[in-house]
Amino acid sequence: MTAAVDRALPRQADPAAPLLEVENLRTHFRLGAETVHAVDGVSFRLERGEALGIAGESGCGKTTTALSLVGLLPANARVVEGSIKLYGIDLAGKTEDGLRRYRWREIAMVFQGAMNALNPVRRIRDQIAEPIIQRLGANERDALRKAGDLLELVGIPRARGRAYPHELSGGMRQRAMIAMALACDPAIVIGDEPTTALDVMIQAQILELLERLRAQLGLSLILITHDLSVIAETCDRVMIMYAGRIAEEGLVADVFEHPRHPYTQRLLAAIPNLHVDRRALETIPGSPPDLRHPPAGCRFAPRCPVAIDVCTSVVPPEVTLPDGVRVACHHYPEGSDGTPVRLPPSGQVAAR
Amino acid sequence: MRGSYVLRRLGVAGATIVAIVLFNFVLFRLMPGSPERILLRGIPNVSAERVEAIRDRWGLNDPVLPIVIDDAGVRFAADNQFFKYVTATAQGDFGLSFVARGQEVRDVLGQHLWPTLLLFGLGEVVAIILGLALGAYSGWRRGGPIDHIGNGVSLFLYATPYFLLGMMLLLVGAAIGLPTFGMLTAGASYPNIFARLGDLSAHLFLPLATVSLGLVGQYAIVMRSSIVETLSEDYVTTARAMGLRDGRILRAHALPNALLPTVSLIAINLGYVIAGAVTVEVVYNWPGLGTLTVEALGARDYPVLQGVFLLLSITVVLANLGADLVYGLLDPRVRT
Amino acid sequence: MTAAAAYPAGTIRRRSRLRALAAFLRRYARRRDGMLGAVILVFFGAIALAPDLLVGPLETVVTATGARLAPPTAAFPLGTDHVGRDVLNLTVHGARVSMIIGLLATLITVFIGAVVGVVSGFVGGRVDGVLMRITDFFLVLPTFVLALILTPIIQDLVGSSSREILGIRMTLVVIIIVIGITSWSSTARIIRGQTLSLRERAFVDRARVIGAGPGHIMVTHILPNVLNLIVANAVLVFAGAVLTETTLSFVGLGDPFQPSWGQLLDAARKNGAPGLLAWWDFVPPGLCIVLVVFAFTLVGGALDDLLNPRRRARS
Repeated sequence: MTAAVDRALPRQADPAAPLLEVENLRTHFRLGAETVHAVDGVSFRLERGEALGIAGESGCGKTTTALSLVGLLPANARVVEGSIKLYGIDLAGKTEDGLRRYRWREIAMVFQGAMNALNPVRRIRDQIAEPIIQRLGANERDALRKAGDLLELVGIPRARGRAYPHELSGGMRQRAMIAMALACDPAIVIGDEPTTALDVMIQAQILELLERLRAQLGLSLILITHDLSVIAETCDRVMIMYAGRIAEEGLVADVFEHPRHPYTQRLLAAIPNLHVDRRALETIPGSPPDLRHPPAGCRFAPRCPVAIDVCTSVVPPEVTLPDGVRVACHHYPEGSDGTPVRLPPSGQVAAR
Repeated sequence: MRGSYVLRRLGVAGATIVAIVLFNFVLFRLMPGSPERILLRGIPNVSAERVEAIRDRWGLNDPVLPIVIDDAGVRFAADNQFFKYVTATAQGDFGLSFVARGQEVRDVLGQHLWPTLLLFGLGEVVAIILGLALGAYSGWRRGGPIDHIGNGVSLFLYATPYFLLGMMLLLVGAAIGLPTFGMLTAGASYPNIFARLGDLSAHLFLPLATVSLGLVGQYAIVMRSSIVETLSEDYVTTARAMGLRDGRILRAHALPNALLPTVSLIAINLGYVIAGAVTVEVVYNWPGLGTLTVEALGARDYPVLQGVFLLLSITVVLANLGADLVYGLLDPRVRT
Repeated sequence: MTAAAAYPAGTIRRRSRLRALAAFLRRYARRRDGMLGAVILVFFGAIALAPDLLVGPLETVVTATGARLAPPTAAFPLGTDHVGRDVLNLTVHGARVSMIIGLLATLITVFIGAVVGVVSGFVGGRVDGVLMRITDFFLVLPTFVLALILTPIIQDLVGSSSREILGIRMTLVVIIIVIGITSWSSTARIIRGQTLSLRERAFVDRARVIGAGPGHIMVTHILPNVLNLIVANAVLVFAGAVLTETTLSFVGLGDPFQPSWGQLLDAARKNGAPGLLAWWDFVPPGLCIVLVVFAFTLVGGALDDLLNPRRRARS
């Protein structure tokens, strides 16, 4: 399915280890005297050539998870627990200097709304060439030539490299950002809402580009988005996050066709469906919890239509179901066969 | 693309200068009484012929405007003060000083020009270098001790008029024996050029310190807030994500963007710097345009004052033009 | 994004306006920097109101009793100047002169700026074009240099009588007027910006539909809503006016018979006080200037933060 490309691994890498393995990641923010538990016990794995989608509402911690991987957190945030193993190398304990080796050369990021993510006073080709010069030690001529190659790879004519960011359309800027991300030939590209600011036609083009690059270069992708249709189209696996924890994770086909976690079910039901009789839009009543004082037990319990007593006191453990899907919900205890729990018609919250 | 921006800026500057010259002429007409009254101030029993002679000399018997409306009807007077004024100004003839009898205003201005250029040129350079560096460092290490101290000091300096700063520094300087008066020691003779330069530098020290201190605070504050704002931009996050070193990020990404508002502020500031210029020189009797202005004010030497006004206003317009052009160089978004 | 565009607006009735004012004052009181500035200003304002009560009438050359340029003693807590006058006396009276000049000049500046801004923004079209050309011209000109050359001309025109208006001598009245007519352009620009955005609001259309004339709309609808902006701007204009007057007085355009702080500094310099290490002759008035300007900056900054909701959101 994906071409295996020979890349030079970092010296400390363990070739037998999975590409990326995150275990029990906890990232907390300090706001004054209070602590926001933005990411609280997230674990997942990314294999070579895989595309993982991380989905959830705003504030669920998906971007924080991504930033934690490369240590790009703001000054008041810290990874307080957990491991982030890239080829078996734990990045979580590394200092800023130690992490620098892996930034862009192993893990690169494409941000949302590339107007601000690109330096307005520098030409596109110079910005793409910059990491090639600074991180790979190339000379300027070679770097500019490689930048041109990358531009063509993402579908931008070479000559447009002379332009400044404000002279390009939104779609082209996003392509330029992708070209920039590929500059050092990374193993993983993380896209943080890469298509959110674009209109639907351009969105499709960008997603198609990412698909093509994945096949051509053997890239592994982490796509962060709140738009489930994007994940359905592009990703192999999907991870649904809620309030800093994982609700459900598994192959896209499995999760989307048989959602287990009540949140996932509601999320999928909330997508407007053209093919069904017109009804009112289904919504999830209530709002996500305040992560400065997260509720005990399952964080979705206050809004969950099928919550039971244990949900409000015990944190649901992550259980792997027979078909490989991981879910954190008390309705799927260890040994469950994975039959999805049936939810009552929307609008009702469980009586407790 | 680029050319039209430059042309537009030049056009605006040109129009403003024309307006300034016209304004200057109108002011000239506002002058109370006439030069003869001022020149003959305090001299009793002046003969009518003497008054007439002076009026002739200063061209005050000519009609003011090109169009004359009187009993004889409407006519065009080629020989009028307005035309004479404009042509004279265009040729650099600003008239004669009231006070320095017979001396051309142009020459008087010229004599006093280069001490001012020396003092302010150096002062601006020192202030820009120090201020930008301090501001960039404070912005980079936000909340650090240097930041807090620098901020407090800058705020206070901002509220202090330049001349007050000058007087205080002069007091300190006098207490420790630095020269505080003029540009060179009066009546001194120098064995060689180095001795002369040495004396000049010693006299330059206090005024230069005053000008630089007065300016540093503002530049530091502007640069600091500019850097803080730039550092929160997404492209800086991208640069960090790329694994670039802090120094590189500051130099290649933050600074070029932070300089943009700083440059325009430096130019806008020039108008206020001129206000300070006038007063600092006076404190130290530095023989520049500032001291000249104050002396001319006291003696109501209007031709000199006019010349100073023209010179300073046009300098400010040109400085703004320069800043616009430099901004165009630095920010590609403006050029299109 | 202009600061003006972010200020809240909406026609409010008088009672709720008073309540809004009270709430605003409460919020203001919580800011330490604004309160410090306000306290300083109240202090100087109080001194400026009744200097005679505090230190007696202004000492003159004739009524001076101290030794020349003597350092501070118990009898003369701030020392004496070059003719033996009590520096404390001079400084306190200087407060009145400097503050009143600043206040009156600010009123003129803000009045002209607000009128030009509102008319220009509301009427638009050719009027706006012309007014903005004039405004821009004044913005580009170094206004201090303009004031510098206008003041002696007008002072000479007016003559050197000892006539007083509102207790201020004519020489100083000229300074007030000159500062007023040269400093209005930035106020005008700001107010115009706010007026432009207000013009598009619904309540203006409603007034137009009813048939209200432009003058009525400008006064009853636009004006109350730019009042916020005017007040915040006026504070900073006041600081600028004090600094400008101080500088104009320092270069000799002040009045030795009604000395402001700037004029006191001028006298000190002319008599060589700094070189003679007579710090008491110029540091007291100087310090007062710095404190007052600093206080205005604090208050202005606090007002701006409180009245500008977009800034509020960011902090």
